[in-house]
Amino acid sequence: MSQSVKDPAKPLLEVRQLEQRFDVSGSFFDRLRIAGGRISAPRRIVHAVNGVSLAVKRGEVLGIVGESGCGKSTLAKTIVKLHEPTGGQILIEGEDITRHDFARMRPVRKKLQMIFQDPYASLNPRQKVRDIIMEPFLESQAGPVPDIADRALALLAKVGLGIEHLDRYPHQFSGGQRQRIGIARALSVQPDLIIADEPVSALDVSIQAQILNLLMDLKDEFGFSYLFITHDLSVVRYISDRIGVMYLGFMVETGPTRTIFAEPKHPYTRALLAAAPQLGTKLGPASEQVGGEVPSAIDLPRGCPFRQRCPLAFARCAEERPELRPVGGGQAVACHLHEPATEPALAAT
Amino acid sequence: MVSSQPIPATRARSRMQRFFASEFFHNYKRNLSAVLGSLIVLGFLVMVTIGPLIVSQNPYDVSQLDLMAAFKPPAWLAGGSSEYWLGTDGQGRDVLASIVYGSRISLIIGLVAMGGACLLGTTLGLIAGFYGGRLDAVIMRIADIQLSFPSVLTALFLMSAFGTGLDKVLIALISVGWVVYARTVRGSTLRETQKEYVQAARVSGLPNRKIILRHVLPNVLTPLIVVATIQVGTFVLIEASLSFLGVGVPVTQPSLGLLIKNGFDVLFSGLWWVSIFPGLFIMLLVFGINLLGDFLRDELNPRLK
Repeated sequence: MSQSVKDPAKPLLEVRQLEQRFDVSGSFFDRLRIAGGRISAPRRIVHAVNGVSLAVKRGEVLGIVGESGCGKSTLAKTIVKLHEPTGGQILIEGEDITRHDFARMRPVRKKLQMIFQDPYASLNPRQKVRDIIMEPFLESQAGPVPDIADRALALLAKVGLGIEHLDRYPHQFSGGQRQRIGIARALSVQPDLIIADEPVSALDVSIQAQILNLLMDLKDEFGFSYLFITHDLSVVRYISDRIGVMYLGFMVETGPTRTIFAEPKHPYTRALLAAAPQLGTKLGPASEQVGGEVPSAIDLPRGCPFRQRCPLAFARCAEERPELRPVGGGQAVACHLHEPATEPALAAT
Repeated sequence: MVSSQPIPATRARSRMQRFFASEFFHNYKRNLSAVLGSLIVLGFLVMVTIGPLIVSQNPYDVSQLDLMAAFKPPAWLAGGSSEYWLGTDGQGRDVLASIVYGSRISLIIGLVAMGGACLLGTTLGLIAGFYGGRLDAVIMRIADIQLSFPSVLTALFLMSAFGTGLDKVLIALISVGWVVYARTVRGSTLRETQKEYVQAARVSGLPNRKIILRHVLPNVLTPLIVVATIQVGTFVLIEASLSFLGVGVPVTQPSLGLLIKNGFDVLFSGLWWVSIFPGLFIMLLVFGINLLGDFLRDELNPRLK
């Protein structure tokens, strides 16, 4: 693998204040409302990702956790530009790709690959395995490529499949094998960063461990980075160097994996960890449990997005939205309870 | 596609064997109407390909016609001749020979128009479903307008605007037939483009054209087989209606529909065979195509499995 490090000081991937909104109001006639004798046509905007910032260094695994609907998949798909971001910046090795068009994205695509959640939908049922796994590579090459079959075979070997699988179609494989094919496809361009969107959540538990080990082995061999999206805390704990916790499209806490698990600061992170079942222990204290529902991403609550469910919310939480601020030890929290003002000694990172 | 190694002969044979061992073939064998339908269609295909070599005369070569033999009844009736099994028309044309030549015109029109409508409709459906937005709205509104008129009426209107002729019949049929493909393909395209394999192709940097041709198109084709089969029958009928009304094919290239019209004038004078036999053949052809289409629809529809 060619490690063409342009600037080692720059993180491989940096996301600044990324914002992704979707207009789901439909056509004018879908929007039309008549209420109280007045005609209006309000827009309905889903605030999927709200000002998320993160950085992934070379060789690092950043895990993003959060419950379903928190915008973590949208974040992943926006970073690979499956969606056009509505605000903020995406930088790959310091290069701002936020407004890159198709032609300017092409060289960037070689550095950036994705592994998808559903192995039954992520492979074209009408393509042979050899065509599936070589497609990103062939697309990145200008002319014809010699030894395609050998390259395909080498790729398959990396993910634990063999020559007998080369000419088969996806329906002839199990879920775990399909995910291996998806991984081989991502590896074909020798990317620097792989964005894995819940890569094991659709698999049987016994297969999950195999695939996770494969992902870790490949990382050690090739030295790329992962942005690892999952809702499974045990997975993220096993695989990540650092963790980001998302809630309602906001990044509420980031930090080294160990610190987050040992000393979660944000009330939501604490509730999330307390809710994870563990052998031999009872559920966390009642104060850590939260009730209620996740608010709608169409009408974001004023102030802190978590305040309606937070057991520790106070007056300021309804007034002012907390920023993600460093609290020391590489950890950062978006919570008024952990402002640097209240913990000045720990503010320096 | 990425180049694959050539398929050795052993694989080709096993593909044939696989077909005969497949569930599809198994169901086909047990389905009487499917076998009947395909035999009828096959019979028509044989008839229009080698039929002209067998029948006694070319009914549109004037030198071969015998005016003395006009309005002969079918062979089994009194006054009939074994030379003209199904009798003759007012110019001494053998009705059977006319039917063989007429079926050829009818089938060619049905198949070519189906191919044209399929190509046009699929292309527009792919564009509408893949790109969405204003393009989608325009294409689908045109389709809606098209659908709000009966297809025979639209075709009739177009024919009276263009004038008669084989090419004009094809244009008219394609203009009324593309809509069903466009709608079917658009729906499937919307569903397929949501799937992660299309997103994977985007992440790999494939241009839209390649994504459509390589990933979307192969996955939206299956439902079209049914539509296309049944449409051949529909087109044969529409063309027959147009020709019967006098705005279809020219008299020099008579289809089955035109044969019915030619015999219609003398139908009530007791000379029924000139009109009735072409009518029966149209019925048989459309019946066969529909039986086959029904079987394919049941077989290829995953919801019925």
